[in-house]
Amino acid sequence: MKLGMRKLIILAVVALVIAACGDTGGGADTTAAGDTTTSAGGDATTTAGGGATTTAGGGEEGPIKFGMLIGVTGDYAPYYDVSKAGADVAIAEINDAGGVLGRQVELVVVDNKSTVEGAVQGFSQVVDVEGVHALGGPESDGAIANLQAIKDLQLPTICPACGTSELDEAGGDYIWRITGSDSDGGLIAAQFARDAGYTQVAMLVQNTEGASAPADVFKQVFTEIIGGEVVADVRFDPGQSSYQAQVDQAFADEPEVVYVGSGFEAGGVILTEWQRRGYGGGFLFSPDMVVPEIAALTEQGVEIGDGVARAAIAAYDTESPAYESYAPRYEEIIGEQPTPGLYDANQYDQYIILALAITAAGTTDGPAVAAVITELLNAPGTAVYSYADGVAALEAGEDIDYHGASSSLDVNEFGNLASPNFGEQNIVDGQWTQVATVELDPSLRP
Amino acid sequence: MSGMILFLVGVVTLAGIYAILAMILNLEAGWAGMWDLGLAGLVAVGGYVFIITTQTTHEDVVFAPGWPMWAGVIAGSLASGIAALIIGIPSLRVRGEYFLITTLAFAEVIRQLSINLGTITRGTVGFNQFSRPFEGVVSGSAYRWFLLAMVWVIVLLVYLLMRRLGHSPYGRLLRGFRDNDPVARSLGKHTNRQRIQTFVLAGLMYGAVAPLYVWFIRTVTPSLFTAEVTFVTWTALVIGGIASFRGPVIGAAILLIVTEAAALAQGLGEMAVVLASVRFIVLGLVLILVMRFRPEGLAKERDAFARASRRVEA
Amino acid sequence: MQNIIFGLVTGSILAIATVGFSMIRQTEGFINIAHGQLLTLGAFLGYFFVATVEMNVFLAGLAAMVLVGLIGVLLAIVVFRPVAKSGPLAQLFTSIGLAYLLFGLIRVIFGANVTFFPTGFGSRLDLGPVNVTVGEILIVVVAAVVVGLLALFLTQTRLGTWIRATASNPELARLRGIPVNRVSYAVWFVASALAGLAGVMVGLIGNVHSELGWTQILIILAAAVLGGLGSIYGVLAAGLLLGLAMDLSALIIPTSYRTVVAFGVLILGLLLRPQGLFAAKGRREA
Repeated sequence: MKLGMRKLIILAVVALVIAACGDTGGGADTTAAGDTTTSAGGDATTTAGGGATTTAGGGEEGPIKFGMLIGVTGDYAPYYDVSKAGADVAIAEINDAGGVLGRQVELVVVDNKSTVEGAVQGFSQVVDVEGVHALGGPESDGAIANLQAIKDLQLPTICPACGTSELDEAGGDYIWRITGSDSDGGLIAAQFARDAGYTQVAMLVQNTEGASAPADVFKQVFTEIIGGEVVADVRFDPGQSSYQAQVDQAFADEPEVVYVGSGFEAGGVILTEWQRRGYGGGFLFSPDMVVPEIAALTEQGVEIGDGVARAAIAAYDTESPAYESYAPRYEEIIGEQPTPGLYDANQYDQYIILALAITAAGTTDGPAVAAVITELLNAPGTAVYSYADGVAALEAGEDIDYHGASSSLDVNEFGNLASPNFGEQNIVDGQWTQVATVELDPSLRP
Repeated sequence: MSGMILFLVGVVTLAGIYAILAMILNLEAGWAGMWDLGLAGLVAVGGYVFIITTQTTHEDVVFAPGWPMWAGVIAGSLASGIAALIIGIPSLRVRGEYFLITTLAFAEVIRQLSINLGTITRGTVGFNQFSRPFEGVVSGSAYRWFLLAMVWVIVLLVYLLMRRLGHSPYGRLLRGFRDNDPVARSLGKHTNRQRIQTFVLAGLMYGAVAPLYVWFIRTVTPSLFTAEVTFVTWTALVIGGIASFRGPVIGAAILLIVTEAAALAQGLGEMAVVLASVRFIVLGLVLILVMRFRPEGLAKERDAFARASRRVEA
Repeated sequence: MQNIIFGLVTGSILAIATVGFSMIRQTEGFINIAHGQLLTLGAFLGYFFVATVEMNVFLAGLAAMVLVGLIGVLLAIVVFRPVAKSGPLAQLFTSIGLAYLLFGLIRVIFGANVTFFPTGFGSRLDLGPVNVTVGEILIVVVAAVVVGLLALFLTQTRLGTWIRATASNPELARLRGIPVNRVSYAVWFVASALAGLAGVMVGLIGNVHSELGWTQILIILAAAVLGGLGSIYGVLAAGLLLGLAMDLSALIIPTSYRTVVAFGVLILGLLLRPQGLFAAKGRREA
């Protein structure tokens, strides 16, 4: 089989050449001003000497690398542009203020193809090949798949939009998530139902983790704690071209409101079919539905505006100086205001946090950086609202308490937001708009 | 550069896993002529039974005995074998393209069950944060080399097993049935029994090697066992050469290295989506070109067995 | 009862998609996985004509049909003709390769986002226990008309007769002087056009995105096999049957099992009649 072996060798060599070219600059997206030499960061994925664990993080020269492991392609692709914009605003802010520890910051974006397998391979690429010092951007399933590796490698990681309940108690040492848990999302939806006086709801839920987890919490809270009735619990697979039977089933008993926990592809189909059949009634949406594509449906005649559809989503604190400084810069890139449903401000905050943490720790060493993150997000400390302010305070020897553009970012011992802000959103004039803030009622926690 | 090598370790490990899957597929498809489009389902059964019986991290399932790993591997293998038996008995009454769609149907059913039987499988969330063999002994990034070695040792073992099977009377009989050989045909009613035996054997093997995939990905969710696993395995087999010995291994190695290299070279920014789609275009072109110019694949069955028969005659 | 309406709509669309698929199987002799991608292409082209060129939806559908039909012929000449002598397995994998290729191209040209046809479905009619919109009636009617025209074409025209002759016995057809090349082009055009039409309908009912091809091809395959790979009318019946089964089953079992039901019906059907429900006497061996 010499012919086969020869072809194999040729192909392997070609692949290695392509990959090598990808390594030195072609593959990494850079926002730093400087050149993109890969520093000693490439070698330092294993510590010298016999430690039982190996730490991530690069050497002490050259740019500091922040990884962004995110769905550039695949199901999460629609979120990529806005996420990248949020991150870019942060990186620019950091570098304009002089970088971190005098070094420029470089953003290394790696595509996880929106799959678990892609997240595992992408993680290896971002850690092994690129040698990042810290990581941001992952989605729920990728974060969970790489959770053990993150702990093994002691890589400070911030998850901007991971809602998964699996992280309710798994973080705090090396991983933080700066958005509300799906458990809370489901709880708030139940709270809406209770406050509006609904006693009978139906549910239309997509069979994926991000949708079914909060839906299950909603159901549990609504039936067991509030004492309401779920007249229909309809589950469906994403990716189908028609959901008429499911929609019909959900509306069959004329519930007062229907909870829709779904991604927007299926959600859009469901809503157009609902309109077509003229079922009427109201909706409670899960956070994944709070995206422009759904709001745009009102312009196609789907009448879900002005309170017919209500959603609860982690709200941005629009009064905060951090937000007020961030919003115009983001708008300049994307041309729209920041949107909680797209988590762009979270993407911004994660990198400010990491930059401040490295500054506070005085080193890029993983464990040292990780050790200060919770501290610098919580009181006590001087409240700071930007990277530059934070650095100034740290240099003055003060403890800081960073309040971000997405929220005040106070975290608990598990790396979760201690008391996330939620806001109610309705579609007004074809856009998702916050109409009220919501305080989570702790008596509803199961 | 060592970072790049670590990354390649992952790629080559995954290539090895698919090489094993492709060799098993070769047994049932290449030699026995059973076009199985449902192997992802059998791998899923093995993987899930393995993790359910061995994991100790999650308490919210009805059945979590926390068995030692070797017991879990055996359990997974047996479960897949039984699944293959259940699937095989009705499916093997039909041939060719019909068998193809029936096995695909069963794989989809298995995937749905893994989502819906949440009290056993933890539904869409699945299992994570579990331990892997010898993790206490081999640490950190050295573990990836260990996993690579383990996978490729098994590749070698499976390869030798397949050679043994291929040259055996059993193997010749299988290929005879596939080719409608009159001698084989004269054995008449044993046809179905042989095919079921082969299918169950394949099932046992898929189940036994599923843990390798689980240890590599480090999480078990329904989304891991989609038809894509089946298609990648088939593509690897077809490119490498159906019914040969080295074919599956060569095909898997080439396919995975090329696609992962394309991912690295992808670059980002506005061109990212475009370039990611290029991966599919490249994959499609490779398949089309191989079928056009070398439909038997890179390694030919004729040659694989010709050498053998020369040895026999010598 | 309402679910019967749903099932009819789903089934009609599935039938259109599968008839074309089955024609290829019969006359060209292999399973064409790329059929799903032609469907997707039809959906995107239809959307493009309606949303960007602002055509009337019927004209857009027609335009998409014709365009996809022509593309199908082109692909047949460039991609499939050269592999024809290598056997059905090679052709099957060529079609898989082509499916990937088209999928990638569609994503490059049209993007990876999800869009919805900006087309209303007209007013809702309440007919006793069920309600149906004008648009849905039109879809079923168009599907029926197209099938009727196809039947007429196959039985009343010379080309159609040649197609049927080639389908049942290609060697004999060639011997009798039937221009098999022309027949082949005609079949590819018709089959691809039907796929394109089905794509427009799928897009209208649901949404338009690049993954459509992969989900649809599985059900098409199920309908084709269930109907008996040799019979066009069997395929029609199978398509309607599966559509009805999927939507009616929602009344009894959890709807997350919808595609499972389709496959369950398929398995059951094959157990009862391993050659398919309406197998013709075609000579193509599986």
